[in-house]
Amino acid sequence: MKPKTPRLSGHMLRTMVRTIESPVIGGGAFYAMAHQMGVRELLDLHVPRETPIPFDHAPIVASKRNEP
Amino acid sequence: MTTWPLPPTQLAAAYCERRQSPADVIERSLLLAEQAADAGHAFLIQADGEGARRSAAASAERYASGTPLGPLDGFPIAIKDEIDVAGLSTRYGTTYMPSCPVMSDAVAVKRLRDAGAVVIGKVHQHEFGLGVTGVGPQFPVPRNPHAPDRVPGGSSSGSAVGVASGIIPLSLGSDAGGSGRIPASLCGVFGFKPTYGRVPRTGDTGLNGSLGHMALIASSVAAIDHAMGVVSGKDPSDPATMHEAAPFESLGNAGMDLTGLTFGIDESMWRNAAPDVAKQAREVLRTLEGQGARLVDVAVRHGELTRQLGFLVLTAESAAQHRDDVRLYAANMGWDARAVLAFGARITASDYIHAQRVRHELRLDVARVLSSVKAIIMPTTLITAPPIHADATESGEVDDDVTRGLTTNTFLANLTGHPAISCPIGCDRDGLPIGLQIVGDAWDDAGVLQIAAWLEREQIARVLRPRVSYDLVTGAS
Repeated sequence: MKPKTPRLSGHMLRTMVRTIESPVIGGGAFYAMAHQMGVRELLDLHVPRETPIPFDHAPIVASKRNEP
Repeated sequence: MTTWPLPPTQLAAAYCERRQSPADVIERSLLLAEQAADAGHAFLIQADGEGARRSAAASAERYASGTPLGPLDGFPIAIKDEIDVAGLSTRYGTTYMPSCPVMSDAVAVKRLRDAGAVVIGKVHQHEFGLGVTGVGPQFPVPRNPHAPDRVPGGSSSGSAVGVASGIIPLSLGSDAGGSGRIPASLCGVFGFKPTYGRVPRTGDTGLNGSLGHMALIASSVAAIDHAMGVVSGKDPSDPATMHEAAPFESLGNAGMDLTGLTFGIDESMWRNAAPDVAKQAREVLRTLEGQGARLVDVAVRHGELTRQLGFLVLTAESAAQHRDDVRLYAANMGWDARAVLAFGARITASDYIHAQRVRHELRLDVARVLSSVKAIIMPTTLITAPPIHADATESGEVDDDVTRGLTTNTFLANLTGHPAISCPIGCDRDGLPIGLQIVGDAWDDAGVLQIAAWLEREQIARVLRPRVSYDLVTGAS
C-alpha cells in the first residue's frame, strides 16, 4: 500500500515550485519529486536497444481492423 | 416529451413542430447560465449573446422555411476557453492572457456552426489545461452540480458542468490526459475522445503536443454521434488528420447485438478503484456477459506506467509550449500550473526520448490487445469527485493521490491515440457519479459510440439529474 503523499497548497506549494525552479538545487528537487510521483520507475525501465525513437507523433499503430 | 436531459432529436422535433423556437431556447440557455453562476456553478466565462442570438434567428428562419441543416441546427453549445471562437478571446482559462478577440473559429467550431449549432460562449477550464480538478485561483470554480463541495474535474471543467446542469446539451472540449473524460466522469455525463487524427485540432494551440485531442462532452451519446459526423474529417492544417483511414460513419444504436463480442479486462486498471466504483463497474460487466458478450483477461505491457508516462510527456511538451508564458506571466500563474511547468522544464531530452520509446512499445501492445477484443473496459476514474479545498482556490494545489485517482486510466488512450468514451453508470454511496471507460480500436470511433449507445438505451449508462440542474425547455430549475 502506497503511503499517502501530502497535498501541497499555499506556502508549501510555493516553496516546492521555487525549489524546482532554482538553478542551483532544482535538479535534485525534481528527481526527489519524480521519485515520489513514481516517475523514477519509468525512467529506470529497460528499453531494448532496437526500440526506435519515434519522431512521428501520429500514434496510431495499424491493427487488424485498420489495415487496408 | 422528456425534457431533461434533452436528446438532440427531441429538440430538433420540437423546432420542426414549432413547439419551441431556437431563439427562445438560446435565450433561455444564456439566462440559465447566468443563474447557474449566481448559484456558484459559473461554467460560462465569456458569453456571446449577440452572436448566439443572430445564429438562433438564422436557425429559426431555416426551420420556418423547412430547411434545417440537420439535428444540430439550433442546438446550444459552448466551447472550452483554449479553443478559438471568432470574436472572443482565447485565454486558456486565465485572467492574465491578453484579452484580444480572435478573427476566426477553430476548424471544429466552424464545422459545428456550419451544421447550425449555436455557440453561446466559452467555458471555464483548468488554467492552461494543466490540471484535472478544475480548481484554481483564476476564476470562481464551477462547482460539481451533483455536490457543490466537490470538484467538477478538468481540465474541461466548464464543459462538464454546463452539460451536467442541463443548460447545454453538448460542449467542445479537449483531452490530452483525460481532460474531457475526467470531468465527464465526475459530473455524470458522457465524454468522448476520438481517435488521434480524427478531429482537427486547428485553432487550439493548447493541443499542439503529441497527446492532444479534441473532446466532446454531452448529455447523450446521440449528441456526440451527430457532432462527430460534423467535426471529423481531414484538415490540411492538422497533418495528423491526413492519416484518417476512412471517414467517420455513425452506426447509431439500432441492431447492436453483443453476442459474440469480446471485451478485454486488464485487472491492473481496476486494482486501486474505490470500492463503490469497482462494484458498479463490475455490475456492468456482468450485464454485458448476461447479454452474450465474452470477457477476457488482457494484460497491456507497461499499462501500469501510463500515468507516469503521460505525465512525463505532457509536462515536458507543455513546458516547451509555454516557455514564453512562464517568462511573461509566471507571477500571475496559479502555483499548481507553475509547478507542472517547472517540473516539465527539468525533464531532460534523454528522459523525454526514453519515455517516447516506452510509449512506442505501449502502442504496439495496445494494438496487439485490440486486434483480439472489441474494446478494453475499465473505470474512467478510480475515485469519485474529491472535495474542493478552500486554499486550492487561492493558490492552486498539487495532490498526488487525487491525480493518481483521476488519471491512472485516462492517459492510456492519449498515449496510443485510441478512441475512448466515459459513460455515466450510476453514483457512489455519497451520490457522486461514476464513469465507465470503453477504449476501442483505432478509427473504430463509431464502434465505441455504438457500445455506449447500447448501454444508454438499456439505461445502464444514463445521465442522472443532479441537485443543481435547469430545464432548457421550460427554464425551471
